Amino acid sequence: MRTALKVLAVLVVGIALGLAATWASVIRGTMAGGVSDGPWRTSLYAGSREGGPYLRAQIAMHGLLALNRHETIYYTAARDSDGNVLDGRCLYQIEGRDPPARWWSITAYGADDFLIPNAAERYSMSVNSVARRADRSFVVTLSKGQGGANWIPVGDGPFNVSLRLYNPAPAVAGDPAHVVLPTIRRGTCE
Amino acid sequence: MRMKLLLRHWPWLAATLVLAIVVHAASVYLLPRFVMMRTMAAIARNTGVNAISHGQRPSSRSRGVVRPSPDLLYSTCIYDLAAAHGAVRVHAKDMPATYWSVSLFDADTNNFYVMNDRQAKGGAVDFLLIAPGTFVDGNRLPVVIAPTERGIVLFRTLINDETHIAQIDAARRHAGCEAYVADSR
Repeated sequence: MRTALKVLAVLVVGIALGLAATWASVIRGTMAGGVSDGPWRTSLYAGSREGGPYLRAQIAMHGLLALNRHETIYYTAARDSDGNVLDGRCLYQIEGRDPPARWWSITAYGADDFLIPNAAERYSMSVNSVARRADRSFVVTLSKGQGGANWIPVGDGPFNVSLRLYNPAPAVAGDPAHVVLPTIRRGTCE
Repeated sequence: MRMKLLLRHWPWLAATLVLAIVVHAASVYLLPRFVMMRTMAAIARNTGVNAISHGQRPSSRSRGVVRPSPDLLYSTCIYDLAAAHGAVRVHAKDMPATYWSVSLFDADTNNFYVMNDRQAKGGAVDFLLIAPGTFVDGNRLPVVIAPTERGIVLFRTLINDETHIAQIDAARRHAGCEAYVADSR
């Protein structure tokens, strides 16, 4: 009887520990083999067979059907340029110039990795839609309340942002940690 | 005291640790396959396999695949080489004058092929997706070898002009995907 209980305990605890380790490394963990560029993180092996099991599992959960680096490079930010977690109760300004790619977009996602519901049905800004200053630079505002022409509404809780570079310049894949990308600055908070 | 307890129970502790490592490794390895199977089953429920489906513009109501781009129109096709008796034809012509691409994903989530509008000769693509070692009688189309029997064909079409969404949507419907028969060209 005692042996049976011990076997049961081994099974329950072993399976729970194994699944907890998967949750911590795949669901909550940082991108396997990724590189940082300011607040942005990316992996050149997203969508690629070279990615390894951890990155493949992370992409399955957080970026299914990602294109390989020859076609698109995906940067993601869950923190601002000062390292604070992006929080819908604060206003953020993403400021910069066109990244080196044929086409780019900035899109906000909720913690569930889906587009954030909002009455205006605004989810992204792109090279085609962003309003620019005279020097061609731009400022995109992320906030719960109204934020002007380049506004992307976000919800109350934590959120994250994708910067997609379609047909990136070769230099991006060559050194993805040193591409000049927009900064993310926190403004006022509730 | 603690050391004594550890020594007495070490075989059980070791078994727990080994089981945890095995469960962890297996779940990490199998997760992509599971997610792809679930996604392919959901798409196939609506359109079947070897048939293209032109999705609506993504919004916060789009819950099928994580992190959709609201700037793209997605057209999907579940390829099933067994159901197609060996070959699936993927094609597109007269696509909109904007960025578009066709990408292929195997059952492990790997993107094993992609071609975009600038790479497509004459703005068109037409190829066969086949299993390794398959010979397709009388075929003159380029072939792409699929690493797995099932997977996803995904067309992305960029909405580069909000005032022309209807035209872009109509033009991207020239993309197709179906079981190949020798005279379907």
